Amino acid sequence: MYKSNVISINNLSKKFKSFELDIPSLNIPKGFATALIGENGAGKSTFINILAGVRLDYKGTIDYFNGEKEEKVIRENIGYTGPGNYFMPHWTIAQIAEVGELLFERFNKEKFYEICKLLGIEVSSVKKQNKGFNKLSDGMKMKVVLANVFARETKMLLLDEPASPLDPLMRDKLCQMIGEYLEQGNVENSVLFSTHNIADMENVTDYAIIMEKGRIAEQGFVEDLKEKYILVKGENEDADKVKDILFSFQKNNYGFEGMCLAENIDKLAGFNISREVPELSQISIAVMKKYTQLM
Amino acid sequence: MKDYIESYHMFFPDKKFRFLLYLVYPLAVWALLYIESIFFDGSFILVFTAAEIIIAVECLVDFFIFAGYARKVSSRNEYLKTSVKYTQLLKKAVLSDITRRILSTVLIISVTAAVLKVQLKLTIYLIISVYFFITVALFGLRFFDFFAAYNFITIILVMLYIGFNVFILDKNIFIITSIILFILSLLLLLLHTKILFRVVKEEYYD
Amino acid sequence: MQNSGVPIYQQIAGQFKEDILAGKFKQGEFLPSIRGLAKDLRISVITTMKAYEELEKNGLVTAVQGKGYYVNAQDSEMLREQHIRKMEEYLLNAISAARIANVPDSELIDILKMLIETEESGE
Repeated sequence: MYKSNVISINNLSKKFKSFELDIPSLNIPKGFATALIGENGAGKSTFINILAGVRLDYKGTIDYFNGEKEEKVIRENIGYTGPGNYFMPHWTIAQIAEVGELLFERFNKEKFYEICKLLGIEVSSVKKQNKGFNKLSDGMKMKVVLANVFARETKMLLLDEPASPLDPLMRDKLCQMIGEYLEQGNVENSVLFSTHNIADMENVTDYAIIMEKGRIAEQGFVEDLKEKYILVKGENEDADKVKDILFSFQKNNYGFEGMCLAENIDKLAGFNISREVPELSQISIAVMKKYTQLM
Repeated sequence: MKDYIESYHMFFPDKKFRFLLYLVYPLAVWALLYIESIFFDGSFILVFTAAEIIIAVECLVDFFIFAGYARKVSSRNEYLKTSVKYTQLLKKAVLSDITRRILSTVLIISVTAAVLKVQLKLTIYLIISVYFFITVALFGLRFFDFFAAYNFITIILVMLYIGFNVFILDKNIFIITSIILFILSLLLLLLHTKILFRVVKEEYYD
Repeated sequence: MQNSGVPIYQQIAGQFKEDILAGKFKQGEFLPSIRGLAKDLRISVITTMKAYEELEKNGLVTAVQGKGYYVNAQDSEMLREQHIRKMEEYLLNAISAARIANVPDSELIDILKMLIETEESGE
């Protein structure tokens, strides 16, 4: 059931002055929501831009939809949203609706307005529809961008930092929309979204890719990762003895906390520690810290 | 036809702009000429004024449509770039723009010339020379995306055009100049369009 | 060593197990689709999948490729055992409440008898 991939990447690389994106091999599972987790500047946007076709200056191969070669089919089936200069700066909401129909065959103008309304964007009158996109707040802008991409019939969504400008209620709504998208597709629809704050999106995440300095530090299905890593807590008197066994380690006045690889958990027998299933955000932080130390 | 116009409108700042460009602009030119004709007693000289106004308006109008389009900016129009139709739509928009400019120039000058009973060869010369000057201007202007540059270059260009006309009028070489400017305009348009599309393609690369 | 916190997938599997054993799902009936349930519960697809796989491991449901999971015929002996276990659990609760309230055992038994009588006469 996990076997099928929506995107397969081989030897992908892109050199910058300060860092290099380098992904020898990566598969994005079909029918799931994949989170691309990493700090600002880890290369998430570059990576998503490459997948979205916004940027073509890379080396390597990317396979979409199990061997689809037709560029038009690929692009028609991918919806991308980004935090940068997305629309033309002067566009109004009405223009966005019109342009959508010009650019993509399966863009539904009525659906666009419907989602706008659902997300609390005023589109009830012509005057409101003629409001300039650039005059909206950051949160509102993201809502329009999301409405625009969800108004299309696609098989894959690439969402670059969709949650950052949204308030908690809207983030929850976004998770719901992703859930609905996956359900509608009946295993055919997939989502890849990037975030530097996974806690808000954890509930909807199936597969996690943790990126650090242009490289993939860890990846896997969330349930598998939650079995691979075990969160342990204990007294400070044991701290020095267990420190080397643990994957990550942090000490404070009340005791220590750390991530232990499941394969090493037997080495902690005899110590007075508690075990917990970690949250994805805790795993991400542990992996990112570890990776930064190694570099 | 419809998709050409729709593609063109994609680059317009808003809906009011269509109204201004298609309707208000020619009517305003004629209204202005009508007021001036009271002082100049309907002299054929007014057709030159029309030509100068067209150059100024066309240059300033372009700022709101294709400003900066000839300069490579990799980080813009991400949404457009995700569609395979983007280049095709831009092509349609650029073609519509060229056509629209020809049509409105021909319309304004020929109607004005007819009313003022201007000679045919002078009328044709004015249409072609106006179009040539606009083409030259846009060739350079589209590398800038700030209004001051557009303003400055437009003023200089109109002054140059006045001088140019005085020279041609003095030498009385309308026909040969018309032919040369026509050919040059075509070449410039071709070159300019080529540059525009190379830049759009390059914007997919860093 | 101790382990605290029950993973979400186990909570969901547990809930379904209870519902299936209580007969809320009939034999051969399909469970909600994985992505539909994930959407409704606001949890990830993979967590739902894992919950269903857990149910399959326990022999409660069977997976059909491309169609989902249907409920197996439940062993009546297994059902009975499940209910007995539940009954014992409630009785134990009653006993500990009685101890706290200093109700003697004989009175507790009397109350139980009385409740059974009222329950029967009520029907």
